[in-house]
Amino acid sequence: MIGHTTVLSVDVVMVLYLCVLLMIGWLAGRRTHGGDDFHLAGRTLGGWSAGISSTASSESGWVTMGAVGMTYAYGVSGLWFAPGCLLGYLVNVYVVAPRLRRLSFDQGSVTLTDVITRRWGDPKHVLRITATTIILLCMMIYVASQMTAAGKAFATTLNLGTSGYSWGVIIGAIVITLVTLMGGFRAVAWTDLFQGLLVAAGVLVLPLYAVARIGGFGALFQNLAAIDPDFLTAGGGRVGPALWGFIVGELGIGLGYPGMPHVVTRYMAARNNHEVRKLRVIAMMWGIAVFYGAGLAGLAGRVMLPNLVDGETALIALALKLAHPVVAGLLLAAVISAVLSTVSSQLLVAASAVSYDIVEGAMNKKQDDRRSLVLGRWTVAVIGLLGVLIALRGESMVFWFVLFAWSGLGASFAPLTLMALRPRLINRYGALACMLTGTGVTIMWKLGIKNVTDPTSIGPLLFGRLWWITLLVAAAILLLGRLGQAFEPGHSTAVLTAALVTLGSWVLVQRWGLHNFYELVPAFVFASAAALAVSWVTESERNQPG
Amino acid sequence: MPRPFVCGLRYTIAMEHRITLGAHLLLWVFPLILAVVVIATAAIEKLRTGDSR
Repeated sequence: MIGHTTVLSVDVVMVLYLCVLLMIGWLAGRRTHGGDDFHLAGRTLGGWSAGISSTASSESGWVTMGAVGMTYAYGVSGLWFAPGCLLGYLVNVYVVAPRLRRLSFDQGSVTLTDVITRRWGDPKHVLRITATTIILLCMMIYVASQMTAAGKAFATTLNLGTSGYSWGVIIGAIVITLVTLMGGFRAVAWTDLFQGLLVAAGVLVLPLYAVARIGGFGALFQNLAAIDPDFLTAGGGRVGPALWGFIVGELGIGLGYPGMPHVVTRYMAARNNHEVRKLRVIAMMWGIAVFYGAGLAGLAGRVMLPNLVDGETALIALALKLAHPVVAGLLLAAVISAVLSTVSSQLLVAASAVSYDIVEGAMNKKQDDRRSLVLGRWTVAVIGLLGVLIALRGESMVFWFVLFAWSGLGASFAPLTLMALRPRLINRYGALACMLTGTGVTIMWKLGIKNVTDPTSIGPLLFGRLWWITLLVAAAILLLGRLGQAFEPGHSTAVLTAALVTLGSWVLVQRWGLHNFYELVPAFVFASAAALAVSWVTESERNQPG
Repeated sequence: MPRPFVCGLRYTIAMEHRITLGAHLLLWVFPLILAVVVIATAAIEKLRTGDSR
């Protein structure tokens, strides 16, 4: 039972924390004067804000809850996600960051969609509309899911009573929408820096203190072995295909990082190459500290609090059990920080997709700098409101759809971002095939896994009909492209290839039982292969004017 | 450094417990090597470019 003093202290700390966020938003807003400032902070980010912001915005509440729950449930083997994520960070900060910053600067690009369309030429806006649609759908789902998570976290920590969830969603949404609306990219990066440092301190200090209380690492391992000897093995008792499927899947998480628009835009906004070099060390150290701190929190939580109903709450439970009420409040603020730092970044990417990519780009309604800023702010407000409505009305659907968001974005855009760094590797038709195949295979594979693991879900109902749904979607895209006179022959080849590969993946997961593989791995491979194949087939159209 | 940490670290490194080699690699060898490589690379780059900032 939590004491009255603890509740009061936590409430005070949480209110102060929210005030700090609003103050940062207001300060950033004073330095935001135009569209370029709003969408990319005028390319002035330093190494610290770019480094921490890129990593903090990519991890969401998953790092303080999901990652903790992994080691709580599986012991040391639950840590396999950490090498996967850190390898993703390595590729991002050493390969993507310097080249993408240079490329976007030379092009004058503001968003990831902008980079893609300018790299391969997109006279009829086919790539822009496809990329924006995928980004907007995934980001809206993400924003709503993070607002849902924020609502639950606020309801628990602020002790809001029976209607706590709704109030939690509304409080979180108002604060984060205001911050994003006022200061745009700069506010998001600065609040990410503040929140990222809070998260790192929280997940590093608390588990170490917990281990000391247990009696040191020796006592920790002794206790874990007493609960289950498999907790101290790298495989966690798994053998054969289950073990390799698990390891490949966990390492495969890292494949998605280069395709996250809210992450890679941080590199585009870095001030110069010196700041990029600085952000490498900062991002990697943050990742190592946070992932292994979260893992250690799960292990310590398993020993100190072995009967938790939900292992993902181990960090919160440890904070309330071990820390002084004020420190506990700060630690709970760190848990919420992980959620809010992500939602603000995703909110801004979704808003940029509408105001910059659609209105200013595809609809050719280029605004002057001042109007672009106003348009961006209005879009943030509308998308924030939509996120609240979805979070309040469709909570269960949000969590079902969010399963596709990370893999969908990763498979559609990570190969594309990497291929954009090499000139003339693929053409615009290959780029279209990559996005469509990544999205299609992700959906197909995920539903295939659902079909096996959860026969009562909506998955089996859809799964049997997916082959003709795929063909219908492909036919609809072809028809729209033809009617809008936007499609060249290469575009049709790309759509047909994506449909065929998507159907092929359906056969693989259905007939050959490859459902042990995390969907991002096959989707990434198939999307890359489709991009290269389509580019090779449509080679003669490569040099058409763009 | 508090005694439990020193003892715990020695305990881990000496592999006196039933922790498998794979778990050792996953738990602390990998992040330690990665951290050292990242810092060393940054230091070498700084020396090579003569960047004093």
